[in-house]
Amino acid sequence: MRTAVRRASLVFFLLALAGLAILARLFQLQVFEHREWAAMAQAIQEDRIEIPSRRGTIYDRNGVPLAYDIPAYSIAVDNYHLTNPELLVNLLVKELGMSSEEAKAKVYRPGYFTWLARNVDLDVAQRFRALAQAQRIKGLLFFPTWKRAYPQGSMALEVLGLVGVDGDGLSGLELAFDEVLRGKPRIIRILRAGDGTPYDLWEEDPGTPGQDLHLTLDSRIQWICEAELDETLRNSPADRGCAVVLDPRSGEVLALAQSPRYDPQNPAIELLKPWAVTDVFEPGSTFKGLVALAAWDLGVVSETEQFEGSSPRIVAGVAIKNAHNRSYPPLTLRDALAQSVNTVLVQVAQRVGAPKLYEYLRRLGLGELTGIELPGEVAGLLRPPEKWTEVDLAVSSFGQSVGVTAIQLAAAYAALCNDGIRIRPHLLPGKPEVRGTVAQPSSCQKIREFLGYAVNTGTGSPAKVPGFNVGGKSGTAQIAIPGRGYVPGHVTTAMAAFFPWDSPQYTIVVIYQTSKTDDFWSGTTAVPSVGRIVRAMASIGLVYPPEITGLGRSG
Amino acid sequence: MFSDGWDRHTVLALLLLGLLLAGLVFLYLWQGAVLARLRAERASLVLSLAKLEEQRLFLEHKLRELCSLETLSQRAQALGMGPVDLSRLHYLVVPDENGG
Repeated sequence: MRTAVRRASLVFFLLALAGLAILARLFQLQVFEHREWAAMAQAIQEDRIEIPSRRGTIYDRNGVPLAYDIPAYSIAVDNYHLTNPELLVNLLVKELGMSSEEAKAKVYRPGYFTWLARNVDLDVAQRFRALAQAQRIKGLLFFPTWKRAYPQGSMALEVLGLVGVDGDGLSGLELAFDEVLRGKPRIIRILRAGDGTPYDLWEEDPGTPGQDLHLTLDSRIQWICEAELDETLRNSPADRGCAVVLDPRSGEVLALAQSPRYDPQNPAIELLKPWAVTDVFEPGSTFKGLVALAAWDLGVVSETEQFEGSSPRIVAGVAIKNAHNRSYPPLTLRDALAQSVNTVLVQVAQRVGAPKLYEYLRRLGLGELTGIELPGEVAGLLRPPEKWTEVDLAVSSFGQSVGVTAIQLAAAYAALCNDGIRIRPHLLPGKPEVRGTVAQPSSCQKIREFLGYAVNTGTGSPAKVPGFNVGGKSGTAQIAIPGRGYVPGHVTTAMAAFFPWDSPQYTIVVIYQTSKTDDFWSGTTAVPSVGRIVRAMASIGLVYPPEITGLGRSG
Repeated sequence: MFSDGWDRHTVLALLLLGLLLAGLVFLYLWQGAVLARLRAERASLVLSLAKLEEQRLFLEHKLRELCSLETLSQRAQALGMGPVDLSRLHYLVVPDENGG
């Protein structure tokens, strides 16, 4: 019995010793060398995944999304661990539309990491991954990412702008509001078993999604304008066109359209420029409405006074002509505006004088940035009055020797519509930002009445829409090219309009330009475009005739 | 080393202590295993949810593309619809609750 107890004690002692040795080793591994081993285990078992934050969505005024992020994948290859490279080349050609040469250059490139494709659509990436697995291609890396998508196609892309493959805003509002739209990436860690099965997951940094942007644009009006510009470009020699629709009371930009537009499927980088904001043109006779406003507000013209309408009129030895050098019998300012008689407006501008005209034009916001929230805006060309010659003053009355952008012209006409109060045109909602008073409300009312008459009976009549009281002024001007002067065949046509003229709810400016012919007139391009835009707005119930608007819903 | 004084009670007490320890160790390991399984399930569900969210966003986008103004306009034209003739448009003024 005693021997048995001794043996048992010995075995117990040895086992205890072995246990102690194991405990000591565990203590060494888990206490003294804990950091090194934990780091090694982490490196083997843990994945740290950085998920780029979802960029904010851009909405129109009615909550219609115009640009947002959709999930996508960027695909890369570890060339050293790649298996079946020839199958991968075929897959890249077939599924991602790569050329054979490009695919081979990427696949056979020596390196641990080569991008095969960035921001691949989710369905394409999923199919690609499944096919690669089926063909036992190893060494591919799939990174979740976001891709900017435009559900309305190319609508307003020059305003919205583009985002690069790394999610940075490159142009338009995407660039101007990059800080707002971009968020902070989310970081998660996944603990995986040897076969890759996840067995724990936690968030290291929740990140922050980008903030949304709500615009004043109305996608329906934007679409109407773009469709109209496209149609006119198809049926006329116009090279390009743009349209701006403003709410004159608030300064909200409801549409800022152009044609041709940037097409993501067929990118042409020069079309990313919103030329209604970045390009200057001579406004031609659309300027007459603004000159008339200055004259009426100063009281240097009256409703019944008759002006001589003969053509040409000599100013400082220079012959100034009417369109087609047509002479008119004496006519009032209202009729001169309706018939767009240059020689009458020259007399009106002479009565106003260069300093006063310049002052009014500055009050209308010409020669300065409007402050619209788009990068690349230019201030236009308005020289100080001391540099104006007599001829400059005369020709400025019909929009020569000055340069404006479409948004400036729209903002100036919006001030006329808003009883003389100029408001900054804006794409982001907010309180109207008053930029000054241009003229007395009664003067604005009178000029609007004259311009309503111009559409009813004069050169603006193709813009007439029965029941909607459209007012406005058309203009056709040759294009001056720096260093070459006025070049034959280069013409701008324009129409600055509003409706209803007695209490305008909308200001519309439409511009077309051609470099192909001199036979290019506002009466067959910009003016009817305004009419068709108003008709289209009416036909989908955005606007109602004034007598209905008072009782029913207004757009 | 060990005295003969180890009586039955002491051995029984030691055995019970051993059993208790073994039981505690078993409970610890079982609980750890259950927790690990639940964590793995959670991780897998979170990843599945992320995949489903990806699909949802993608399908939502496809739907929006199909309902874009341009697509609807093309479909309407294909169905023979055209622009409204304003002269045929009649406005009905519906009085409000107060008869106004």
